[in-house]
Amino acid sequence: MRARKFAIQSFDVDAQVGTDPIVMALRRNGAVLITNAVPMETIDSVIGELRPWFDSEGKVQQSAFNGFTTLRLSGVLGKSRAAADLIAHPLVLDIADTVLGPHCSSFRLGSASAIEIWPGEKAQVLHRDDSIYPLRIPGVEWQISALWALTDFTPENGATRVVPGSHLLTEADSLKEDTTIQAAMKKGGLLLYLGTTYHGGGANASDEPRIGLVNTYSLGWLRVEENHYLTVPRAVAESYPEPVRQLLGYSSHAGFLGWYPEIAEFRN
Amino acid sequence: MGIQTRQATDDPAAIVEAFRRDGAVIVSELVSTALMDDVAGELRPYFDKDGRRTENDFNGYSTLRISGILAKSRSSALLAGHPLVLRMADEILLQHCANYQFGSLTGIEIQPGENPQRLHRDDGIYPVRMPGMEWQISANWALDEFTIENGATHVVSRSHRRREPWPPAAEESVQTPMKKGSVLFYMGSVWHGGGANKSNRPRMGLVNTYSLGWLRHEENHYLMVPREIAETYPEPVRRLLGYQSHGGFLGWYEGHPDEVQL
Repeated sequence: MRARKFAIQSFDVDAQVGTDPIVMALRRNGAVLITNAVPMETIDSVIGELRPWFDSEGKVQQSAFNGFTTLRLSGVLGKSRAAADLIAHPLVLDIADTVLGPHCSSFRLGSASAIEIWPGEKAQVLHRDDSIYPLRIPGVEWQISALWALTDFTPENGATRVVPGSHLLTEADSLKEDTTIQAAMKKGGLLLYLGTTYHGGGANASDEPRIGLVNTYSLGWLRVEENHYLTVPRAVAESYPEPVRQLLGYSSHAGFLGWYPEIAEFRN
Repeated sequence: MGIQTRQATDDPAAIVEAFRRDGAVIVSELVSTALMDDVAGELRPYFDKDGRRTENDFNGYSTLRISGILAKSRSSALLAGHPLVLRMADEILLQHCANYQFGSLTGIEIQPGENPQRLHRDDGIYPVRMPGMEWQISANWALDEFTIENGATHVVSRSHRRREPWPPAAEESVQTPMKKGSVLFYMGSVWHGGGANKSNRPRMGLVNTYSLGWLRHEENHYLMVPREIAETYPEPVRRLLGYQSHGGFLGWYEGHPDEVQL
């Protein structure tokens, strides 16, 4: 392949450029930044709702991969109703539909993880989120990720490291660490990246924690990364509006896959 | 080309070989008729109460169907988790996944007068097909004797190798009669369909599918078998119901049994 230069472009929602240029940049570079997608009050509500949960169960998922100085929460929609405004953000769903729609009838929420990286945490190993699936088909994305900055993301406090253009790599050993850039963004910023894009949490060398909410969206015929049926109580899931319920898996793929008696789509 | 009928005492490796070659195989009288009577007895009230809820052109209008089987019949776990079935699933599916799960468990009672079901491939619920790779297999248990007259399943032998997207002609299929207690295996990519029931008695079967553990389940077991019931089953059955992860991360929930440290 001819050498290409990759970058992470940034789009301001207030500029009303529409979905297409954003998707174009995402496809080209494997990642894209979006600003001003939600009011700051939404971000503050999400942080406020998640805070007690971080404190009570944030350490449950600590591991070498997740880090030992990082708090993580799953079952986010069972803990923060305001998070639904990020998870089911119309622009995110529109972009997900554009990227994933050619390969499925409907997509679902893969996982929703709130991540608070504490001072002193080391950089996370670069990885592709879609490696939870054992099959890769060049040109087919199995999932995309939407990372919301709930605090400012800076080079010092662990802004996510991304390798632009790495979604195009077909040889695992051709990844070069020095092509990594950090996706700094203001509180409320949104980083979108493809399931094939190499990335990793940054080291937090500041003296403040940094908080993000990472939501993934995957093809509706795949198993979902987080078992929402077990992490978000059904009664809570069903209290959300239809698009959120569908994302949580209270729907089927094309009428038969994921079937249960009460689904709306059961038909001939 | 037909479908072989093997004995339960045959070498499992030979049964697997016939399965791979023809895409389907029958194992005769693998379990006792007494076990089948237990399963049929446990399912009976649910067939009578819920059996018509999923009638449609594809499923038929003279056929009763029920799902959520493991919440209705504990004896069914002895079929769904039968060691020979798991051996077959291991051989066919574990090349492509770290573990597999139940796709669906469906009780099907074809009533007299039902028409033949159209030929189909079970793996058509997934939008990708890769030659030589099976996404799922099916085990169809005869809770009654399956005869030519009462609708023994139609199967097109070796049709897992067909690359044409259209169905074979109905005449290309053979019926797979088998005694009560027998099981018919077929690959997810094999063309098959329920037979017409021209007898004067219903015939009951239990069709269990097993799919790659990184795919979505056909039947939503989490919503159809309450967790507290699922967790009363032995470990292999709990896992097949989805209480496991694939490779430590996929399908994650707190307390899943596959924690790994990288």
